[in-house]
Amino acid sequence: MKPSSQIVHVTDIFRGLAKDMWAFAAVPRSDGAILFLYGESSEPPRPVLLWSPGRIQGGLRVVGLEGSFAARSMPAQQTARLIRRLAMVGKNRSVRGVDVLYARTGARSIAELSESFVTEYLDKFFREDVTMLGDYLFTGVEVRSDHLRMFFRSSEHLLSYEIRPSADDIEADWAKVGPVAFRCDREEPEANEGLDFLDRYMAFSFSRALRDVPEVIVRRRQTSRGGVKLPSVMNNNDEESLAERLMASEDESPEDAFFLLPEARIMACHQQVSTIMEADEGTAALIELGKDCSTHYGWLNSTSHCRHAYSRYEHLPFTMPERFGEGRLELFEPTEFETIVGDESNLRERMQALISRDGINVTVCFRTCHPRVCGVDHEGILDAETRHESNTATTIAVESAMDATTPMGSFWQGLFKAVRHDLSRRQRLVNFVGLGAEGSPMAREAEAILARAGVEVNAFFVPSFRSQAAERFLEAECTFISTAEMVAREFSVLRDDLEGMQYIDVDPPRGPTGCMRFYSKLLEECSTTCKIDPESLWKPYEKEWQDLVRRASRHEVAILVRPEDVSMLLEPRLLYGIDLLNLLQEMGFRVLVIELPRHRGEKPTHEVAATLRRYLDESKAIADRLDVKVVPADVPINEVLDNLNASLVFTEYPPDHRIMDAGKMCIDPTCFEMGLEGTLRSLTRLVRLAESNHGGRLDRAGGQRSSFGKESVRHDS
Amino acid sequence: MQSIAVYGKGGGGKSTIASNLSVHFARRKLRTLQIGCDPKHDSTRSLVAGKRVTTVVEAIGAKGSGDSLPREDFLIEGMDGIGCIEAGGPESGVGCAGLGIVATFRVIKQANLLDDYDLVVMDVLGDVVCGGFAMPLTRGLAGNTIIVVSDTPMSMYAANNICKAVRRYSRNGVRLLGLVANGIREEGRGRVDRLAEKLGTRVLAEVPYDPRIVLAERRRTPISVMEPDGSTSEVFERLCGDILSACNDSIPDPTPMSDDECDAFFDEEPP
Ligand SMILES: Nc1ncnc2c1ncn2[C@@H]1O[C@H](COP(=O)(O)OP(=O)(O)O)[C@@H](O)[C@H]1O
Ligand SMILES: [Mg+2]
Repeated sequence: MKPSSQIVHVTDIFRGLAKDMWAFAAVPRSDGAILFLYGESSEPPRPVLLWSPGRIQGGLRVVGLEGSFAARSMPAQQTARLIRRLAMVGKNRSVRGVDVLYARTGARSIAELSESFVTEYLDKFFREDVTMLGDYLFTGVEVRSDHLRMFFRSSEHLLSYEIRPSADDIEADWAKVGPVAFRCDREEPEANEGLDFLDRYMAFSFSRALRDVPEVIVRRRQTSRGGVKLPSVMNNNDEESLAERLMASEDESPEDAFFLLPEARIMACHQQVSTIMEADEGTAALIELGKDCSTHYGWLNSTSHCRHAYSRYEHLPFTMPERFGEGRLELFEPTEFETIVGDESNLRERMQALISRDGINVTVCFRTCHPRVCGVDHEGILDAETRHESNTATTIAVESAMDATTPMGSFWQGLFKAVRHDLSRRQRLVNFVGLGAEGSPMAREAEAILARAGVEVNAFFVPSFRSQAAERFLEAECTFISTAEMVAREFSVLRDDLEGMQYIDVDPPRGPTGCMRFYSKLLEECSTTCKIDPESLWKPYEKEWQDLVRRASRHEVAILVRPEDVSMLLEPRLLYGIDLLNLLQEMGFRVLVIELPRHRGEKPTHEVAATLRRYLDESKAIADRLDVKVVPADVPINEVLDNLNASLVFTEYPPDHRIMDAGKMCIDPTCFEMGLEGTLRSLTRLVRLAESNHGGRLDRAGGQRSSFGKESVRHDS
Repeated sequence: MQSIAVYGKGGGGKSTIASNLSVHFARRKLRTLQIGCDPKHDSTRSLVAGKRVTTVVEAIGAKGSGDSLPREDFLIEGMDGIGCIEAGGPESGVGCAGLGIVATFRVIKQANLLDDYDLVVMDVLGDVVCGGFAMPLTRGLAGNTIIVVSDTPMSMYAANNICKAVRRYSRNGVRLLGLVANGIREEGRGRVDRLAEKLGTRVLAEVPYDPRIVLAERRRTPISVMEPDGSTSEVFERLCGDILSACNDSIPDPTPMSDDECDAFFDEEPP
């Protein structure tokens, strides 16, 4: 037997923990939480549950402690203090032999119940001949044919726990924790009062070490070949691979493809959202970090909003949720400039304003590279601002527990839940979805034209909309939605959600006919008495347009299409609503569609050619300036490009070096602007590109082909 | 449009080399744009006679947003019509310089600036410190890269790191044209050759240590303009030709060393 000085009494450790936390008792619970009891011994104890990550999604992640924690049934100020305290205890906990604050993350499965079971998984809780629970000392494990036994011994009794893989048909008196089930084999159950504690401690430690924990922070490094590192979290596997594919396809172009993968067109908004809300009925700060490191600070003056806004956080243990009233969304979004130069003055002002309100508790929580890299010292600011505020508790939890990749659809949905719904609808007020951002040339043009008909445009929704737009959204009478697939699809979630709003689908306005169709539909739907002839809208641009069309007619645009991409040409809604074939011809260009094989080196199938022919026969599409060619097998893509007469080549991977190396110019979907003016601007630019002859200039400047390695290019000076 | 990104350790001569190359490209009637991607914003100084250029980040700050910023706000025409842009960025120790680079490229794209140039020379700060500085590579803007390297371990270590980034993004058309040895001391000559061999690339040129370069810098002019017929100018002229022809070559991906290999390489005795 070990010398008694080495023995660690677990009950002492919990007693110590209680003292550290100013509680009069700390009790391990079988679900992995720790219950602290507060109050004078004369009155009924006030319990505070400290949840472990095994029980909760989210919560506070505290520096110095593994896992994340949340306290319940305690006012916010005290909670904040408690968690700070816990962080301190966590820092000093290494002196103890048993780590009651430990929580293993990523404990999903047990390969086998082997002899090393305890040392491998439970070593923070049990050590052979060291860990003492009441009268019982843990003495080791033994592997049996189909199970494992953990042994405990007191001076009189021997006790063992049987551990098996958890199965559905296991009897009710077994405790199941994650992948295992266990049960105590005791001969004289009443013999010892320490047994109760032992049972609970077993379950507690198993919960902490083995439970199938929904990992609170999953840091996923993008390791795909071309991917950038981007932490992202998704519980759903499908969505995860979608996000992965999205990011990958954004950063690398697949071989011989000139169109993006279909899923990359989904308007997704990758946000890492960090939140902490332990405010009694005060303020919680919500800090979102965009994919590009831009930051949005949302201040929610009621934490329940947070729960609504991000349904993933519905399970968060809020304190006294019934006391949260209706609140309004308050927003502070630092500008890109503030982020780049690390300007924190606005943030400081904002925090001051929040803190100076009575009874407000601020809990700030942040993560990702941004706050640290930018040197914005949230912690310092809060400390400075709250030093003299007796009624303010602040908790700083670095590296927050929550982040999410929120597809735009659910983000909008959440946001709309959080804004006011009591606004009455106003007539002659319309919203635009996916038809240009607020302040964009398209938006200004549409506003001006509709204004002549007495219609006001209320809110513009595009992927990068500012959250304030959501507030105004509900006031409008009707909403025009772009038919572009990515817009319609993302918005469809919301569409079903917001009742009483009239929705009208419109094709995004591109090209003279497209624009006129767009504006006549708009004016018609708004059923204004004011008659505006759409043709008259285009008139001012007509002459310049015709000149450009004449110049464009000398040039050819090539579109390289694999069979799987052909729908992009036939169904404009798939390609941001750009009707590429018709639009280019309307602009005056000759269009050459080149059919590539499905895979490099394969025989051509002529699928694209056949499909296009069928399409042209069936529809009224323009075809007088359209040609289709099929690439014979085994012609490398650079040879195909080299031999083109076209001066412009379409790609969704701009700037596309395959095209540029062949001396051609790339054009991409952003070349096709919306609106009347946009249409003219687009053609102006395309004609200029077509006429620029960059390739020729480069060749003349000395681009003779040589082959690498044949001769040394080095020159000694 | 072709693009050449000049990467390399800070203070290694990137801006000097980029500016002189721009001059030679412009002399070959190529419409050239030089973008300084360094918060230090001194890349194009010698091309604009030392005039202070408003950086893109400053322009964003002045307008409050980078959306549809007109090119006049940040583009300045230097000698021989060379377009000069400085990304700019925060002061040291605060802010996010990487986001500055990201914003700069967005602004440049929105202004359709690249349409008007045959060649873009990007002068990118040091090691690829964060994702922002790899931006020219990730978005395929920098098709061709050259790495400026000296014979010091730090410089070669940085070169190796940059090779890693180049290889990572090679699928986007990024390739390494070669190394440019700059200011090599006599005893260090063989080292850069050995490094090139290790990295599976070549030495495109050796720019000698030339005190006249510093003199030219003081006069706010590229050496190739101060002494068009000097020997250093000749080196740049040849390099310019080699780069242009290398743009059409098919080039194998570089083979960066692991950190251990790197250490072993530095430990080797000089031959
Ligand atoms: N080959 C050279 N010979 C002499 N001085 C040089 C040479 N190359 C660069 N310099 C000097 O070294 C300093 C740093 O060069 P610079 O081009 O600004 O580096 P970077 O842009 O990589 O930070 C400058 O003062 C420059 O004049
Ligand atoms: Mg420099």
